[in-house]
Amino acid sequence: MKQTLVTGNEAAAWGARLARPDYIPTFPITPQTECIETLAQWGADGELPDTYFDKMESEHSVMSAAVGAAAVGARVFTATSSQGLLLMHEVLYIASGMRLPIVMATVSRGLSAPVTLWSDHNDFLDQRDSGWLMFHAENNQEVLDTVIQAYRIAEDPRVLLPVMVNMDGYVLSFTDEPINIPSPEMVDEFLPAYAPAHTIEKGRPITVGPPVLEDYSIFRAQNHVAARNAFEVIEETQDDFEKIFGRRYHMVDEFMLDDAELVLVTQGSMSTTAKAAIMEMRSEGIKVGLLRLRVIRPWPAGAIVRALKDAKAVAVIDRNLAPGKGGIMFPEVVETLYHLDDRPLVSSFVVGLGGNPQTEVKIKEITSKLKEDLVSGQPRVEWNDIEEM
Amino acid sequence: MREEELPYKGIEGIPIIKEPGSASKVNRGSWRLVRPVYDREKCTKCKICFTYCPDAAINWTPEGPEINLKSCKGCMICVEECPTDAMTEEKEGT
Amino acid sequence: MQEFKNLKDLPEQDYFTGGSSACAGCGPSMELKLALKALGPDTLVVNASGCMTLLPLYPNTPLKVSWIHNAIENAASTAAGARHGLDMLGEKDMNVVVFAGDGATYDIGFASLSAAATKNERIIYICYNNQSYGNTGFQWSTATPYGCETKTTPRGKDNPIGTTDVHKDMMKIMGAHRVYAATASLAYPVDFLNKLVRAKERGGFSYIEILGTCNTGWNFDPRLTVKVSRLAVQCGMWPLYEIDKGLLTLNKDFQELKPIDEFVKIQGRYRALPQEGVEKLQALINEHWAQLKEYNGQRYV
Repeated sequence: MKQTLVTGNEAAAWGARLARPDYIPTFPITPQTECIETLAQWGADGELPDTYFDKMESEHSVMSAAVGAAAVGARVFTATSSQGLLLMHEVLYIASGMRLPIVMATVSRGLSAPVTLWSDHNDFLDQRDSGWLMFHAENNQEVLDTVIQAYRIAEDPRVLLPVMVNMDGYVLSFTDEPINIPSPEMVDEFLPAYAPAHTIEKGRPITVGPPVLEDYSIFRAQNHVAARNAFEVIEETQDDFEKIFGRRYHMVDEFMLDDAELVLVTQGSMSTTAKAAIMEMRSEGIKVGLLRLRVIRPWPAGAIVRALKDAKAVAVIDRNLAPGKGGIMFPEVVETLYHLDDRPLVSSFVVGLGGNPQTEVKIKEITSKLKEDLVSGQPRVEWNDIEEM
Repeated sequence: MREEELPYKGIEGIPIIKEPGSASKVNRGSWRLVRPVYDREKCTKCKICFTYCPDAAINWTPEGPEINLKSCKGCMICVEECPTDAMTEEKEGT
Repeated sequence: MQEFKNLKDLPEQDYFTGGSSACAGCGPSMELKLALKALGPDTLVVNASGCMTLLPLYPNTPLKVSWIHNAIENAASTAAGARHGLDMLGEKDMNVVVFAGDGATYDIGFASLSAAATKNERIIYICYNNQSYGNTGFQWSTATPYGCETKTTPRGKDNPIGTTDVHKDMMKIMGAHRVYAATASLAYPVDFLNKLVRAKERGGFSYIEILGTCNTGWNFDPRLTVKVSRLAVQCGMWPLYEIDKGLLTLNKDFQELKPIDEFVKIQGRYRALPQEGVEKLQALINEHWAQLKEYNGQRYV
């Protein structure tokens, strides 16, 4: 199959282009800007005949315009990063509350202050409770594929929720990788035109976004049920995707887990480095494997339990921080395993904040520390990048 | 209700109002302390009362204004603005 | 669409019903009702959070047109997205109309409004200006006039004036965006509806600001809503004018303005404004009025 060199930003733009959105509101922010610039150039070149490319004056307005367009039944794409994603935060809840299937690529970058341009996952995970479905890609092929899948999942009548597709800034966003760009015909076969049943149109006046009284709990519960319905829809989507494109993704990505005693739990591009390190450690006889969290919302507890139930020790590697608490995904994983009779020991590693590189050496260090924990029976909370202060 | 019993209500579970003008069935007449009283004899059908009613509680008919007391909150703009005293006010409960 | 000649000429069909939870005598409710007469059934109203957000209360709505409420600071952006969405889906003849208060317009939503105007989006933006944050109980906004007492600019021993700032000249700012900008008053409904007709015919972005006479916040008898609105125009507190491509037209001229005292004395929000404050307010109004008279028919911005 023909391979093309594209950056993560371009891969997201390709996913959007192939999904034929009606509307793309945009605002620049590093390290996402290249994604919207690519779309802007395609628009100027007449390559996006079915799309109105718009430029807004803030990310808040980007998401607001996305809500406006999706509410009238348009298919919408946008992209953002970091501070921009935080500026959108208010409107993200409105998009999911109105059950609008917007798809957005997010490019993770650490949050200010102090300013960093490099990647960690606090921006993305800050949206954890926003009601969006959340995917985190490992490489550029997955970025493109997941954007296309995201529309199928978002627009399914059982779901009707917006979807965020995250990639790591710089490591993916600005790095060329050889990927397969599917043909428009194949994508059209996979992704039908959006046919919404709950939107504003002429001759059928409806009120969107009204205040409610005691029904609030019911609507919130519906948001939750819809997100949980997504489990089934995601699986079906993977089946159809595999049939057409020959690639398959899962709720979680399992790597060398079959006999693994030690398991590293990761997110995003760091997983590729960790997999390389694991292959080396395996050749040294260390029984280590990896679980990559691909779908963050809905939280795939079942898949995580199945993947980790036979492990002896688990290291949750968080490239993020909730100050005063710790790594954000650590408690989520621990809670998921809590009810097991024979649950593994779980240690927490806070790593790679502001893009601090996670080399294979560092991954090996984490693994040996986890092994120590298994021997001592004492889980740890470790700050991997700080030797002394 | 247990979580697994929560039903999925589809489009019905989305917070939109699908019935235009459904508020017209809500009774706001209970807000009123005074009510407008219409005198057809004095009316010149100038449409001032109809135009200025903030709650669209005055319907316009070929015979002139028709007050909908379910929607009238008793602001008395119609009484104040009527140039011919065709609208007067009366205390509620009298 | 023809312009309307007089009150009897206005459309009889309403796309607004009773039953909302708006206050008795609510000016902005009346204004929306009137606007929909000119706009017709194929209209999407984009609302910014404020009093009017509570017109619909699930599962009831007084609206017979479509309505979307997003948040407070993003009505113009929401409208831009809806406009392009409708256009791309072939529903080009739907009107997209913002109905937002002054706080949402002058303050927190100003960036999104300015961008939509700069891009000349095909939207009619109606600001119902009640000169305050009304729904939260009457606090200061940059539209609050000098001398007005609000909950965040209370009069007291050290500040007898209340609001000491002079409100933003939003019309001039919007005029400088080279769009159609106009003021309107519920006391002059024919003028208001004709401005909507002009905006619709003109295409592109239009900004219409109507005095959102608020008996609850301004503290006067609700029966006086029309009278207070008319006085505001007659006193020069709320002159009726339009700016099109920078050119100013004064729509309602007076030989002599009524003294602002007549407007001030019937509203609780100006109660206890000392004479020096009334005089300063009068001076500010005179200055603005003189400017409008001077530039009438000429380039204003």
